Amino acid sequence: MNLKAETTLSCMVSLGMFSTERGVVVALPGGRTVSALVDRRSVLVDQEPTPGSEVPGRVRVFVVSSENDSVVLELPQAGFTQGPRLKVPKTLLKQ
Amino acid sequence: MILSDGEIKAALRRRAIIIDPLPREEQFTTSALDLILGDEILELKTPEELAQEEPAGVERPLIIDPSEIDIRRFLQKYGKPLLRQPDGTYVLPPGKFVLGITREYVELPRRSKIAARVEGRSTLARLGLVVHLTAPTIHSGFPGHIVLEMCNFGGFPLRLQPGRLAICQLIFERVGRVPQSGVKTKYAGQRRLR
Repeated sequence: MNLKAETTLSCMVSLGMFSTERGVVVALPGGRTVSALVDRRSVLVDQEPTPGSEVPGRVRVFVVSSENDSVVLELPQAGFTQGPRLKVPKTLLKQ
Repeated sequence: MILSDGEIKAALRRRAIIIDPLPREEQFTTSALDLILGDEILELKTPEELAQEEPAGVERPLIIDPSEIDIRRFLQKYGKPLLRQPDGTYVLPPGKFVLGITREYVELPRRSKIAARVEGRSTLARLGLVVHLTAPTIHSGFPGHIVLEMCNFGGFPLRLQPGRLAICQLIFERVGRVPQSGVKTKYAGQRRLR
């Protein structure tokens, strides 16, 4: 798999606390989720979320390292409950 | 090392630092860049307000557990805009904690090898205004507007003017040089508080 330094990850997108922000929730295998507030320019959506709603979208991430079946990514901002890095299966990047 | 004003300008020209809108000359100091307060200020609802939103008859301690936070529910439940005055300003009462945001979008591309720290400004600090709480680091690769955790520790209400007030300063870190301009602060050489 030819990994670029920057890629995108599927996520659910809601409005952020400020108008320039978006809330993103990345669903990981096993039912775990990672939530973060990121700048709206770091999110790709077909239509903007409305108050109280969330829409499917993609968040820009950096590829930190790649192993056999997994990849370490870095979100634009740290998550609420963890740092900005997360390890995900490579298959998640294709979705 | 800390970037000087000339180095920050050079970095802006070659887009090693991206700031939108581009800062005006008066926003630079010798070794930092002032950022302007943005339009939005949010406050967290009080426990009393949150209790009123609970269904009738429900009584439970309102304790936030950061490890179980759901971002969408959190945003909907705990934040609300601070009341804006008719003249467009905000008044921050003593003891009030709010979240502000910079007018400027800041991006520090990784290839630039530049990180930054958000710091307060001395005049505002003397009035008791804190603009960040323990989270000053803008990491290399960061894109976005900078959120400010603000609290008025002074004894007087403070009027904050979005779009005008230089609310914080950014200190860029990598390699430093001799600053190109002289010290501009009016507190240079001070020996006493007043």
